[in-house]
Amino acid sequence: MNVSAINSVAPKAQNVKFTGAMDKMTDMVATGLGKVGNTDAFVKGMEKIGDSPNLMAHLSTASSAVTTGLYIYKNLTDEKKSKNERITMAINQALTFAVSTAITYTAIGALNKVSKNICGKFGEAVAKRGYDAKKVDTLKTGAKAAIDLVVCSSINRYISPVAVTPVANKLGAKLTDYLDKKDAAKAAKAQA
Amino acid sequence: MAINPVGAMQKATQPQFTGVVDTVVGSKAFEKVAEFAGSNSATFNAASSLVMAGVLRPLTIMALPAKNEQEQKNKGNAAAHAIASAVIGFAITSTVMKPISAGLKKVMGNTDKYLPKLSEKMKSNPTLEKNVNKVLSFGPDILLAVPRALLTSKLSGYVNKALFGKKKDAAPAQQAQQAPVVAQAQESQRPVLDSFKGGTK
Repeated sequence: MNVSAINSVAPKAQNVKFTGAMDKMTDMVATGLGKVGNTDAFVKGMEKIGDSPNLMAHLSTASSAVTTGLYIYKNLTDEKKSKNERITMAINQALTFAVSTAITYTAIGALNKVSKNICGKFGEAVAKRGYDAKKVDTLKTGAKAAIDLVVCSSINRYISPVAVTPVANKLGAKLTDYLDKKDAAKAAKAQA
Repeated sequence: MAINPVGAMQKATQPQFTGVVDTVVGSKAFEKVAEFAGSNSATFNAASSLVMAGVLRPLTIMALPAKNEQEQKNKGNAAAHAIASAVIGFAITSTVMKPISAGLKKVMGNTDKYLPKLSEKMKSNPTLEKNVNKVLSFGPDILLAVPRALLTSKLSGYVNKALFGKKKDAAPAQQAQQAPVVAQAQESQRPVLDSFKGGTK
């Protein structure tokens, strides 16, 4: 019995199974998206808004709004946290969304210019290093991803959330005090 | 002194980098980062997001000053949420999003087959093509938002307990030990206090 021949077949067979499942899922997704994309509603909708230059920003904001809304709801209904913690976390989520959205709609044009400028400089330097076209292309694509990460993503994923945390703490404390006083006044009125 | 005219010309034609950003971007190290990111873009994006949101962000939040125990707890909650959302985001990107992204890529790569009603217009209008791509990916984004939020909230609780839970548990235990001592002290004062009630009998 040729064991090595059997062993060399078995791993490939497993890979084919996994790849086959992935291909099936990809096909299912593609078919589903195709069905949605061919509906009259979708076609008419895209004919109306398809040329909008800011559609990507609007959809990203809408997607973030849904996620943030869910986080706020979960925080406000978390019984394991105290009142102050629930309110502060909800304010933190809301402020992070608000600041990131404000930056997206005001400064993102300027940030994209900075990103393009730096990518351009890197492209010039790489072009003079004597690399082949494929490598230059890979380097330019990679540089864009790295620079976008630093310039644009760091604002939404790092700077905004960190900057709003102390603000949310202060606002959370003030709002909790206000609500506690309101509750105490109500209780006193009810007793009187 | 010998002059190297070729070397001087080569130096003159190279872009002059000034400033920290320019120095970093012109360095060999950045070139290596760019090469990795260009050849492994999905891995680079996912890993970078995980590091930025799951490591740098919570560390920086915890380094912020806190005036009292409540602010310290709130910082802990924010840090735990950051870690949880980064981990869940990475997990979803690496698993569920893979077939969705691949399916979307397949659709956009063969619009004649999958989007026959819009295909011709998309070929002549790059903005429309980009927007169709974004709108089609919006549905899965929204559908995934619900399980993402639920999983993040759940994981955030576990992370909070694992990283900050010991202090939390210690405080109530200390309070429980102090409570009977305080109660005993109050009890012992009562007969003395009772004798000072005053008033007319």
